Amino acid sequence: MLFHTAVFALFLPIVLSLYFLLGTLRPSERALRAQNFLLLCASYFFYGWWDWRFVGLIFLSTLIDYVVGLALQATDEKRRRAWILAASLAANLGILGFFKYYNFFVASALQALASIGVQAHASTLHVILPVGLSFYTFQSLTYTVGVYRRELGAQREPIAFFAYVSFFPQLVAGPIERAAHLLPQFLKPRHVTPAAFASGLRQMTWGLFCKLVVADNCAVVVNSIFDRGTPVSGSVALCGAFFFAFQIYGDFSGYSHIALGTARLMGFELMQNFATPYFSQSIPEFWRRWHISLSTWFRDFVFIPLGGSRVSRARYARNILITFTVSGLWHGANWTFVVWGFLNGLYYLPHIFLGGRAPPPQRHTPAALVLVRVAFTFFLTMIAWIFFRAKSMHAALTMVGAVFSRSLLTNPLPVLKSYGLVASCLFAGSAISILVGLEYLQRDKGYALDIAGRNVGTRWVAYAAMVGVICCFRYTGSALDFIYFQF
Amino acid sequence: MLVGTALFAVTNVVAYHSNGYFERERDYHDEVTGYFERPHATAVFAGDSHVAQLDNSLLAPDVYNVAWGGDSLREVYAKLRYLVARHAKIDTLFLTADPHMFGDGRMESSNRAFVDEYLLLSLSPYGFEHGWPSAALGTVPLFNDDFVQYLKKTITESLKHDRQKIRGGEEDGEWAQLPAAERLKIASAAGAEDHTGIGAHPEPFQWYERIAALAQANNIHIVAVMYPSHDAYIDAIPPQAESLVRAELQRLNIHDVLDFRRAFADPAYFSDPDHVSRRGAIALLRLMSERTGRDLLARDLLARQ
Repeated sequence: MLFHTAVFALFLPIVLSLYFLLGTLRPSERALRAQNFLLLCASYFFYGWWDWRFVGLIFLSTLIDYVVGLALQATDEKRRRAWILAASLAANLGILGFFKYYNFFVASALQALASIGVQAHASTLHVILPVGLSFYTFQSLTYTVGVYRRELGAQREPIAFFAYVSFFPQLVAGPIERAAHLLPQFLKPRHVTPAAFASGLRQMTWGLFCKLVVADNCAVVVNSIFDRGTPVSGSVALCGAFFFAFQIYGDFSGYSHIALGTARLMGFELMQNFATPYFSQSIPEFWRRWHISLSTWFRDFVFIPLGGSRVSRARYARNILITFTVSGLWHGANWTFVVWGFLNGLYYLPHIFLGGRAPPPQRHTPAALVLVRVAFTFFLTMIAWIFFRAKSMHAALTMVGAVFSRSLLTNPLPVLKSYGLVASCLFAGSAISILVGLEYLQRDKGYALDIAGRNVGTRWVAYAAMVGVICCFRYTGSALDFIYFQF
Repeated sequence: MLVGTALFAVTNVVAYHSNGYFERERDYHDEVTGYFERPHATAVFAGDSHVAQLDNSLLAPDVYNVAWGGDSLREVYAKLRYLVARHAKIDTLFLTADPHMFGDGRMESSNRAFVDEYLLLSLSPYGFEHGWPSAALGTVPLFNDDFVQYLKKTITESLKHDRQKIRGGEEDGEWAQLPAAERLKIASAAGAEDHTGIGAHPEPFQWYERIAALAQANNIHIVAVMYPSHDAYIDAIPPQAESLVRAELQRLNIHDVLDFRRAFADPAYFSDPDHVSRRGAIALLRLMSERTGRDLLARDLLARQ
């Protein structure tokens, strides 16, 4: 079920009511067990709502890692522990690889063979990609690797562990929590203060604004430009890229905010996943602020094991390119995602080879220079987003080619008008302005609607305005899935 | 929290009573519930604007019309289900069988949200695009997607200094004053546009089947009616589409089929290529009365024969 649907609006109050009711049980350990069991049932129900067949897979994946954790804890022999971890990696990544990449690799191999004149045949399978597979697989791996590295002990309590892996607020699209951060929250009583509850509601509201008003209104423009099937001018392509940049940001950060807010209603604190990334002044800074849970996962589990940055510049560059390319592949079984990842890796290289330092704190940098850096970084990410969104490499290259051609200087308005997109651009543009404005004003906060410190009048005007904007300016076509659900 | 909830409630009330969308919704509901102000009504007309031209002021006391411009077969089902659930004593349903009701243009209706209430109240297992919770939530004005769409459209049109033209809003008489060649051209174009996609979607046929099943379960006799149009409008119907509709009526054992599409050649009987004028509506009701053996026309109009 989607966070912004009526079904979830029914589901959540029921779960919360039962959750707080069970919280009154005594002793507190009994309450904790009951609440964890409720969360487990609710999470499986939430997940099964997509497709009941997915439930068996998440159960299997969780069971494997539960057993692996206990097996790792039971032995100190290094070689044996390595084999046990390898079994977990093979099982988890094998499941992920099969469901997500089987058809992609078969098709790519056949294409490669055909390009050298070898006609081969192989069957592709009708494999449904289970929602959230990439996310909970990575989350589960942080547990087994954590136990292997002795950063945390194995979890014997099965309910708590299964609830941790399947925790519904962040199950299908993150944040990808570290076991060391989230699992302990299932093991001690959780107390929800009125302030925390209010904060949770505020963050959910902000998330709904990002998704329903910003992302979904941008999607109307983006879908029309990218899915047209005919070449567009550079200026129109750039418009499409611009609106997609905010569609994916609104969509994904919106989901994350709703996830964090929902979790906080129950006394859980999840990690921040976005920190106003489009205000970044460089690509490295962007990747410290965008999808933080995934970036840090790849840093800790791919980049650092490869050697990280404490090697020669050439190896550093190699490690960066591998990490970003694999990250691109994680996003989807298509060469466009691989190229997107690789391109972001390429963007990093000047910082490696030219010895680029992080820009000085903003108060020492002229505003104009900050603006130029921010705009340039945003432009680079926009170009990369074209690959992310395009349906094929050919379409992506055609659009990028148009951006870097003279047609970039043509007026896009007549074309947008002929596509019937002027009103949509107006709504999407207004939504983006509100988003950027509020995020700038609240840039030192975790989310823009974090206004607990303001006076009551200001808060209520802000709440009323935000709810009014969501109600009156949300996109009202068919409910658009969150983009990251396909990963 | 209480203050916020109260504010939200007040905003909804204000939106409901001040906005044109909800005014239209109230008119829509009045037309349906108006059935119960005719205690002797046992025959009901249902369909879209083609049928709505048979205004209730023209009808006999035991006949009532719940048709509304823009209705698709889903709305027809919802209304019938609602009336039956409220113990309406209907013995005859004059159900539109115009082929365009099975095409692209009737896949979604601008009235779709208006009938959610009927489907919810009659505990319908069908008809909720996003599930019944979403439909229930949509009864709250600020959560109503169609209202939001209407609001956004109003804003964009006010910015364009445009006024939305109401379809088929020509005054009676204007159509007849057009040259024949012009009428032919307009009718052809309208016919081609209205009859695309017939047979491409199973949904309209499913709804027709549900209406037939509901009627049968409540001993309601269905008379399928095809309404008068300009010849060029009818000629634009693909032959296979025509066969599909006829076959569907056969399959559902609806044998009482009144095809009045070519009943009138006089342009004075029309307000546009596919809607009869008031004069045409009266003439049509007389024809229907003769064919069915049932007085459908209001007494004072009958007396003027």
